[in-house]
Amino acid sequence: MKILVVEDEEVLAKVLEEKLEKSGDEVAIAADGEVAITLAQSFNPDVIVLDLLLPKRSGFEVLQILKADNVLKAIPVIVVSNLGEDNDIKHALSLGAVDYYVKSEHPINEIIEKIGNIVIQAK
Amino acid sequence: MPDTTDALEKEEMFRVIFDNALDGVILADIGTKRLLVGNKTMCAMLGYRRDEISGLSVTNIHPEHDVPYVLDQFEKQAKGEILLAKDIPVLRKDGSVFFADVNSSVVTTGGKRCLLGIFRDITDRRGAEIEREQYFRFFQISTDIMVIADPQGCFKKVNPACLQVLGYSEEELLTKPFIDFVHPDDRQMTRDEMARQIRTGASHDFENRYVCKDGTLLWLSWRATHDEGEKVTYATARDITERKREERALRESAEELKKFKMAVEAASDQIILTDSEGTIIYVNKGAESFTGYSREEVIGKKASLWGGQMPKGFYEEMWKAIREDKKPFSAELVNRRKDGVPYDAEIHISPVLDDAGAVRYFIGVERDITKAKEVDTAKSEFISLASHQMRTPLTAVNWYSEMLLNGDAGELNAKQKEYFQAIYTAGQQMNEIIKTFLHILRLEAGSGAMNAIPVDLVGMVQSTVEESKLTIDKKHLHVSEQIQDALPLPKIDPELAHVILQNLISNAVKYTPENGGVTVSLEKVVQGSTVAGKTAEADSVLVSVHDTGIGIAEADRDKISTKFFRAENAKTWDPNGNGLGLYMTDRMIRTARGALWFSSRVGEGTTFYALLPIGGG
Repeated sequence: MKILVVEDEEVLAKVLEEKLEKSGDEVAIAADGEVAITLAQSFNPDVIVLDLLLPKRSGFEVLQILKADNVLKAIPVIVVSNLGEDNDIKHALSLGAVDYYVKSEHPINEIIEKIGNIVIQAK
Repeated sequence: MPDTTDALEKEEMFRVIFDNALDGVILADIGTKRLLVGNKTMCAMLGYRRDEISGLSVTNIHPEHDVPYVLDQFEKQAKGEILLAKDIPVLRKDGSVFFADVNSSVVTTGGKRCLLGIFRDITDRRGAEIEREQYFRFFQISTDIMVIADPQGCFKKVNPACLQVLGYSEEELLTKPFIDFVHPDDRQMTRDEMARQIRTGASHDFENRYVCKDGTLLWLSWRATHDEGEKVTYATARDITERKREERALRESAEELKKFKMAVEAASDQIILTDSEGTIIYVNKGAESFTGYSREEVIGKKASLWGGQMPKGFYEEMWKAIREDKKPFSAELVNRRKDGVPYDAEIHISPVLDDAGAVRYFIGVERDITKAKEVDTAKSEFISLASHQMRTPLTAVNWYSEMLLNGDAGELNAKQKEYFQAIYTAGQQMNEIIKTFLHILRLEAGSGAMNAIPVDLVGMVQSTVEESKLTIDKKHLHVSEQIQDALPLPKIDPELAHVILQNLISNAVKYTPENGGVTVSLEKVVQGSTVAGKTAEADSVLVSVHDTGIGIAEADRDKISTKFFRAENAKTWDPNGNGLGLYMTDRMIRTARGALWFSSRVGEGTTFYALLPIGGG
């Protein structure tokens, strides 16, 4: 499976990358919103893991652009962010995110498992 | 012949004397009581002509009802028992009456025994006597003090009122200088007044204090007049002690009032007085600068002039508190200045009740907290950002230590495992603290994610106890649950419910020494019933968490749920607490329209009670 991880914090991106690769997935990392859009088109991922506070374009904007694109809108997006306010969660889900996780609230294994579930559903 | 001439001359002389006598002279027949002859003066006194007199009877020249008395006196005089009959009323022809003293002597003329009466009109003298009597009587019965004093400073006469008011006997008052009875502080002034009196001769008013026989002090108000001819001073006085007391009380309260008024006027807060309908009677200076409305613009109006910005329920709750429950009401609210600019205010309204317990006035104190709010908002934003920013490195700490513990970087030895476990646990704790911060911010912003649904508190209690299992086991605490059967599910945000239980249970566990006990009870409480001193305002579930811990000191009772407050004994027990747990729990329970309170004894334990309405907030 091809998973695009949009995460500007290198140290966190690295964990996600390692963990996902370990479970057999192919991973691309985007460190800002612009790159995220480009990779969404070129890398052709099965699932996108999206942070919200990002350089250049915020995760919300990325989500809007993806969902406005006839092809890209089909890719399931799971938000993994440290923004934990209710408003943020509702906003992201209303823009079409399939799930939302507050990073510090969950063990990495749990998040990897959730991503795995989305991937299975996506198939 | 010469004898006859002589006799005639004598008779003429007698007639002249008779007619010119200043007293009235009359001759009356003792037997028939008929008047025989009267002199000129007598005729003038009675108003009859001389020829009319001889046709009258004694009874005709006295008022009818006095006749029996007069005849009695007449008989006594005729018998020679008395010579003088005093104060005899005499009736004039015109019906008027005058009084006369009547001297009499019995004479025989023409073979008849007659009574010769000499009448002296005593009307003037009698009037003077009556007048004197009246004056004396007035002196006697007056309730004002009346005295006559000599220039040496002694009373010569005092009336009964004087004796009664001062309590001394007449003898005591007359034998000592009156100055001895005056309060020492007033003696000089009294002497000066007396001297002025004598010097000027005019009436003078003054006040001084007298010491009564029983030692009490009386204020007397005097009016004195010195009579230079008689060399005496006449004076009257009235007891004005009560009036003085009232004046003093009035003066004092006026001064108090002045102070209050100054304080109220100068207060930087807005202070409003309204009647029981809320119509403004008074506003202080502060109110003018506050609302932008002048005093004239608001008096007679209602405070809704600059209010009315809050939801209807807010005002309903306020009026219920102050008018129906007659209790003070405090809240934060938003008002609007005359120029339309809204401002944040903190208000305190107290009803003022009359003796019958009805509301007379409302006193409202309003404080502009716009600045404080701005600071609060800035603070909240800072903490919000800080919390979020803290989460990112924390996530790294958590995830990496998790991976290490998971063996992602190879097997760890026991020590390594222990150390990484410590890092991981600390990370989890840090996460809890950040969550707490965010909860508080949400509650303070009033935008708490209120997702009230029926919550299974029983399951939640069990899982929450489980969260503290490590500590419970380590301290060998005995934790028990008492759950009432068929407990209803209260409607509350599950996250709120969890944090509430978590705080209450973890506090109990934290502040209970080893081998102690913690009991969590859940029971249904119906509306209106009283539990642990509180009356439930709605059907609720009562969560009580009892511990055998260190207890809460009475001095800390009111501060226990304030932000960042930490009781002294709690600090000693657990130096790392943040003083937010109970503050947040209290806020959350209030958000859910419930109540949080506790009972405690230092060294014996504490029971926290949380009342959660089944119908939700």
